[in-house]
Amino acid sequence: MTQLLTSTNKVSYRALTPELELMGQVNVTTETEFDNAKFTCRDVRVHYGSLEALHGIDMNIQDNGVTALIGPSGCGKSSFLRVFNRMNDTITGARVSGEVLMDGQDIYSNDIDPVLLRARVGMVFQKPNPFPKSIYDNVAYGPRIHGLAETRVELDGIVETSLRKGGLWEEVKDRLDDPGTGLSGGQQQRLVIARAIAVDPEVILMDEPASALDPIATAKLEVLIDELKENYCIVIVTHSMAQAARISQKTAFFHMGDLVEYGETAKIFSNPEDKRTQDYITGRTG
Amino acid sequence: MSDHIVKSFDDDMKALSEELSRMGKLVRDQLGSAIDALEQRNVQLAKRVRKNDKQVDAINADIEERVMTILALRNPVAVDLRETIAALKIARELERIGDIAKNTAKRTSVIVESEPVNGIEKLIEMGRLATTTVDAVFNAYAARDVEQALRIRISDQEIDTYCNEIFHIVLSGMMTDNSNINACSQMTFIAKNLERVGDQVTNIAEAIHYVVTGDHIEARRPKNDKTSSTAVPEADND
Repeated sequence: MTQLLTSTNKVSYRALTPELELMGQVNVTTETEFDNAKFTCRDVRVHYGSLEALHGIDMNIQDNGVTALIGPSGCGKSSFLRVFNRMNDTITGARVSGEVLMDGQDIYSNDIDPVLLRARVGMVFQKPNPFPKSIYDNVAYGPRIHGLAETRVELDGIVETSLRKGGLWEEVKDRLDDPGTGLSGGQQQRLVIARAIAVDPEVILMDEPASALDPIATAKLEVLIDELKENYCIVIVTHSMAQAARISQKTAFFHMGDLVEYGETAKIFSNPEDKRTQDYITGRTG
Repeated sequence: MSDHIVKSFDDDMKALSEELSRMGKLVRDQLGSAIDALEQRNVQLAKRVRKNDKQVDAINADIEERVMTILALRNPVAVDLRETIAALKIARELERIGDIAKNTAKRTSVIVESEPVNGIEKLIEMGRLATTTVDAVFNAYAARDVEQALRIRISDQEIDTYCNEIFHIVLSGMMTDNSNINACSQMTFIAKNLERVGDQVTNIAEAIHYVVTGDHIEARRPKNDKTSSTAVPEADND
C-alpha cells in the first residue's frame, strides 16, 4: 500500500487548545501529548444542512492504541468518527470544516482520494455487514479491487493472515466457501474486521461494534481489539461505559457537539474533571 | 450531587452511607463506654462493651456485603466508585477501633484489681480525646467535609503527645513501685492502642478526602509518637 504521507510529528494537544482551556470548554485531564499522534484535529466542525453537529473539535488521536468516544445520543461522536475516513462525504447535506491531519497530511485536501483513504482507514459498523459472498471472497474483495495480490497463492496468503488477525481463522478454515452471511453475529463482525484488515489499513474505526453481540461474542471481539491495537490506531464509538473502560487507553466525552473531556481512560472513569462527564458515566440526570 | 436515573441505585448508595454512619456512631459509643468503664472502674460496663463488639462486627459484615452487591450489580464509576470503595475502607478502620474499645474494656478488668495508679487521669483524658476525634471524623464524613477531615488529620499529633506523656509517667510509676506493674503495663497497652485509634481516624479522614476530591493526600502527615524509642527514666540520663 502506498504511503500517502509520512512524517509523524510530536504534536501537542495542549498547545492546540490553550484558549479553549482558559475558557473552561475543554478539560485536559491528563497529559494528552503523544509522540505518536495518528490524527491531529483542529477546529473540526460538522454541519448537516444548517445544523452544526460538532462545534470545533481540537483533539489528537494516538497511534497504536484504542481511543473511545463516548457521550449521549446526538452528542456528535459518530459524526466525529466519520470525519476520519470522510464517510460524512457520503451523507447528503453533510459538510466538514477545520483541519484533520493524518500523519501530518490533510485528509480533506483535494489531492486525497477518499476511496484510497478508506482503505487506509477501515470502518466497522454496529450491524455486521458481510457481502453476500463466500467467507473467502469477503476477505479477498478489497485486495482484489486494490490489486494487492499478483497470484492466487498470494491472495490465499492475505486471506489467511487477515482471518487469523481477525481471530476467525480456526473457526472457518475448513469452510471458506460457505457464505459469510451464514456465520453467527459475532463471527460476522470478526469477518468484517478481517475484511478491513485485508487491505492493510493503518486505522480501524468502529461504530458500536459490539452492540448487537452477546457477551461471549463481545468478549472475543474485545480480545481481538486488544490484540489489534499493537499494530493499528483504533477509534471506537460505544454506548457501553464498561466496554470503553475495558478496552480503551484514552477516552473522549462528547456532549451536545462539544468535546467536554479527554484523557486517560482510568482517570476519566475514576475521577473525571467535568460534572457533565461525571453525570453521564455514573448515570445521573445532570 | 444530582440523582441517578435509576433510583434504586441512589437507594443502595444511601443505604450504604447510612449503615456506615450507624457503625460510626456505634463504634464511637463503644469507645466512649470503654473509657467510662476505665474511669468509673466499672467492670459490668466493661463486660457490656466486650459483648457489644459483636454488633460492630455484624455491621461490618453487612457493609462488606452491600459493597460487593453494588460492585457486582451497579458497576459504579467515578464518584460512585470512590464512595463504594471508601465505605469498605472506612468500615475496616471502624472495625479495628471497635476491637480497640473491646480490648480496652478487657484490660480495664485487670486494672481495677489494683489501686488507681499515676497516669490514669491522663489516660482517661487521652481516651476522651480519641473518642471526640472519632465523633468529629464521622461528622466530617456525614457532611463530606474535606476541610474538617484535614483538620482532624493534623490534630492526630495531640493524641501522640498524650501517648508519650503517659509512657513517661507509667514507666516512672513502675520504677518506684513494682506492685503496680500489672496495672501499669495494661495502661501502656491501652495508651498505645488509643494512639492507633488516632491513626485510624486519620485514615478515615484521608478516605473522606479521596471520596470528595478524587485525589490521594500525598504530603506526609505530622507524627509525634515517640514511644517506640522511649526507655525507662534512668536511661534518659545516659
